[in-house]
Amino acid sequence: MTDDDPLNPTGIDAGADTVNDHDRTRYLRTEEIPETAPEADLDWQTRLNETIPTSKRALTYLVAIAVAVLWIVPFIGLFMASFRPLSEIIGGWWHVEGMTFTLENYYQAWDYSTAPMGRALRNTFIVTIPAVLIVMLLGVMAAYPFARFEFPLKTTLFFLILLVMAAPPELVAMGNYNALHEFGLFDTYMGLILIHIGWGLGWVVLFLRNYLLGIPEELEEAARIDGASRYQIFRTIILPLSTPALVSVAVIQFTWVWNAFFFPLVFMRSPELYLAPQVLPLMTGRVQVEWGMIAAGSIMTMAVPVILFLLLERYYKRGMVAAVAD
Amino acid sequence: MTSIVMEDVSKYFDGGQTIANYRLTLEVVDGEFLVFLGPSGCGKTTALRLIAGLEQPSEGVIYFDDERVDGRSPSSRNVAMVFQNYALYPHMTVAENIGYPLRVRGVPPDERDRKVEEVTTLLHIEDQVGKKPAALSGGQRQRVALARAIIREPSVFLLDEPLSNLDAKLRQEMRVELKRLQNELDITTVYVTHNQEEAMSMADRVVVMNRGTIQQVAPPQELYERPRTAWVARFIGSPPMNLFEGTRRNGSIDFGEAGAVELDDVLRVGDTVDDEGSTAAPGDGDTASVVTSDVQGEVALGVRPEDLTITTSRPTAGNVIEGRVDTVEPLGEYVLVNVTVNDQLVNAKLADGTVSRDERVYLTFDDDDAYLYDENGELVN
Amino acid sequence: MSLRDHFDAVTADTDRADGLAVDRDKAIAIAVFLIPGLTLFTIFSVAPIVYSAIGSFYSWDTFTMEHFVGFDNWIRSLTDPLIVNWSNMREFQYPMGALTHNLLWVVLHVPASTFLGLALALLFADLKGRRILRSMVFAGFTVPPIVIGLVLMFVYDPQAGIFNEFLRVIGQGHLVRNWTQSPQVAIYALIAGGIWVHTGFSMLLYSSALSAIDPSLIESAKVDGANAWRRFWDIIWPLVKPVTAVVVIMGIIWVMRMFDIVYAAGGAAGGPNHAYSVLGIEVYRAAFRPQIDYGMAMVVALLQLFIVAPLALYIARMR
Repeated sequence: MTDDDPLNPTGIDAGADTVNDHDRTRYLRTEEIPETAPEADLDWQTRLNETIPTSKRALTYLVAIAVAVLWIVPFIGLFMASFRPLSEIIGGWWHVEGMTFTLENYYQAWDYSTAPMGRALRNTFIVTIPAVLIVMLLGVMAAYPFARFEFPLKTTLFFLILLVMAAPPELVAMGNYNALHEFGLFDTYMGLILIHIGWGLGWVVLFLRNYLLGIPEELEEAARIDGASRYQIFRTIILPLSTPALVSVAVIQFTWVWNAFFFPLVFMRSPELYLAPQVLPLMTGRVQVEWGMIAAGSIMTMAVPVILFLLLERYYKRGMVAAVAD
Repeated sequence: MTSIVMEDVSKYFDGGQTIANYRLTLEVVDGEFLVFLGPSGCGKTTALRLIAGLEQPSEGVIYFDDERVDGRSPSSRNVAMVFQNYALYPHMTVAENIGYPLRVRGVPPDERDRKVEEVTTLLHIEDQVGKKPAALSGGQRQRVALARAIIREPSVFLLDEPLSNLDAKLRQEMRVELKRLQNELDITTVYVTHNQEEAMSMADRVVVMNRGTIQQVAPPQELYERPRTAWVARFIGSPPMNLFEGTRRNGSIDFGEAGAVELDDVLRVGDTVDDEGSTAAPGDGDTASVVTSDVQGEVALGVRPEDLTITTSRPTAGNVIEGRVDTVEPLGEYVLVNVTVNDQLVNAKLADGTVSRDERVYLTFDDDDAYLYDENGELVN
Repeated sequence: MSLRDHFDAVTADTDRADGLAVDRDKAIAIAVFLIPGLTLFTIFSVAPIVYSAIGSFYSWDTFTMEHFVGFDNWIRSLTDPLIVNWSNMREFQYPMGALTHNLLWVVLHVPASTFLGLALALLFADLKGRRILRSMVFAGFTVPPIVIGLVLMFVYDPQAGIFNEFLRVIGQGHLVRNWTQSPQVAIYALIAGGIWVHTGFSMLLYSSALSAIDPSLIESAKVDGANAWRRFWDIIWPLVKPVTAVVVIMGIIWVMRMFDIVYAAGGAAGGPNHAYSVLGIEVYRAAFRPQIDYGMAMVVALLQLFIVAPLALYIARMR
């Protein structure tokens, strides 16, 4: 303990370097603190000390960036190939000197004779958009009683949802094939949309239920005291509050429906109804694989979900994690 | 047995865009209980983390005794730390948590168990050793964190707002216990808090920080009696010191309509200091010259609420400031009277409040209880 | 919006205040919320599963259910060399049967993508720009799997494929081949591709688990004297271990459902002479390609479910 003299004025003028002998304390005025760090005049030793931890960190960055770039090399290749003539692709897309830029592959894919990509992409939109919107609405409606009320068969339904989530899509294909024939919906947009809705509802209900459980019940109680009906509560409290979860559902469900290959393969048989993912494997001809056209078709097909992911990345990732981990 | 010296230690973040600490120079004496006190964001936690080695200084040097430790990892400094949220490992039992610092140092299990038993007994948590942290109450978690910190007899003991997550009663209890523990173990301790009551009750010395720098280092009593700057004066005490803003003119302070106070009366306290104290900078330590010269400028006169008295009739002598009663708060132990002086609200702590709202009153105080702060907010007398 | 009209119509008769009415209103409300979704869910998801479960015990005339045959379909399917090919397995020759291939995916793909996912999550954990880095690795998971299959064919192409170019550059030119069409190695090439896509997902789960760890725990361990190695094994690993169960199970579910990638590379046969066929491919082939065998398709699809269902229920119970 220093023997401080209470009457000793510690630094009457704090501006100058007034060093108190007792406790080596020097007071600075707050006005003396610069807004940003002063340019330090470093001697070589401090400079060295500072570079050692940074160089280790720089190595981490280098490795991390290298890995991430390596990870997308196949996609870079696909992208490059989509803009180059077949002869250059066969020679290796990684040779960049003397590169010819062409949109020919895109034209070719767009007008592909069996099933033009232009039409296939339109079909994919026609199926995906209603399948996503209806699943969101029906999903949040069904999730609400699951989160808030007790009703008979709740546990059974819960178990069925889990079972369906575990089931492979192949398991429902046979039954649905016969059912759609029965309903006269086989090989129609409506048939495929309904299949996607029925298939997606399971995870959507479970996901939204978990989210709704996190919304404080007091909000609804307050609304009820204010005189709102259950439907008004749902519309004015539950729906607005679950917007972030609904966005997650929308992005993820959109990606899944858009990317789906098996269901269209089974349920869409007329070439004019083919969906984009369905068309792509047809392009691998018998004699020479048309890499340029496949690449262009693939880029067009994947562009939609990838751009959506990049735009709504936060919702996508959060939803993915919440869907499986929470 | 360790003393800590920080010399011109600065810490910048965001590539120099943010200054967390600026040129801290400080010595923590061996065995001392030092408290960093300041509002949130004042850099006190960063200062603690610099000592811990969780952050490395951007500039400056840190010594433990005569050994330079900046640049070293926390584990090589032999410090122990209690975190604000206790940072108990949730997957380990209480005993495993407490024994962890010994385990990583390769202490054999039987010795570890003996030590764990020792500290758990010391902290009265011997019945909890088999539980996971999630099963403990806040106070018990606090004790486990303390036990984990003291088990390996660190040379420096660091605590970052350790009591802020406890309720008021428990906080009071732990305060006493911590102080007792520190006295018994006699370990150099640095403690960070934003709670001045905690700081004043436990510290040997308090470091008051604001905006990344040290405002004052002093024992609690001195901090209360001689706040070095207007900022510290406003920060310490409850309610804080009143600062009457006025203009210094010809040996007196002019408070406008509220009156004036003779400066040489107030500064007489300073005269005694001048006789024995040494002042390094020219001019301002020499109070006589200040008084006699025609210095003008904005100043603030600080008087603690408990040092103010209120009269309804104008006293004939002494220091008088005029005001109007705003509100009266009878708090049982004392009465807090809020008075408006030139649009400024000041507090007076009185034994009984016979004044009423809107009444014209006169605030008086002794010369010894007044502090004069110059336009830079530095204590003059 | 007709739904809204419907809501309002129902709201109109909630005015009666006796307790019975409240109960009835609540029941109606639950029904209104549940029924539209549950109907579609039942018709298009639950019913077909039940249909398959029943149909697996019946004989079929293409798409028409005929009569009960007991376990005939089950025995026939499970002894089919397309599902498990015992004689080839003894010689370690592909094809070894779709089930065997699926299990090989589980054994190779799941540990690798789990480990890589954790490694990348740790590598990116405290870097600036980690969001971009993670998105780059994760992007493949958002690409249609059919495109992934085509990209793999492209990567493994003897001339245009960068993998073979890589082999040539490192002086292993003699290994160059059309990897996805070489029966004995194609499955490994595809598994590598699967790991490539799926690691992003594992990484995402691990990243969120890592960021959920209170940083003061790590700091506390530093102060307690633990080095990076010990901090990982004593603090980080125990805290992300529960996520590992999820990552592994999601990985198993993903590979057990494998279809698109294999179809893209090998068509409905699952590669030359079914060399890397998987259960999903066999279901599709049995159900929708001549010779149609609905009974077998149902058995194989149920087999997929039986392998995965306990794992899915385990995750659900963990919550």
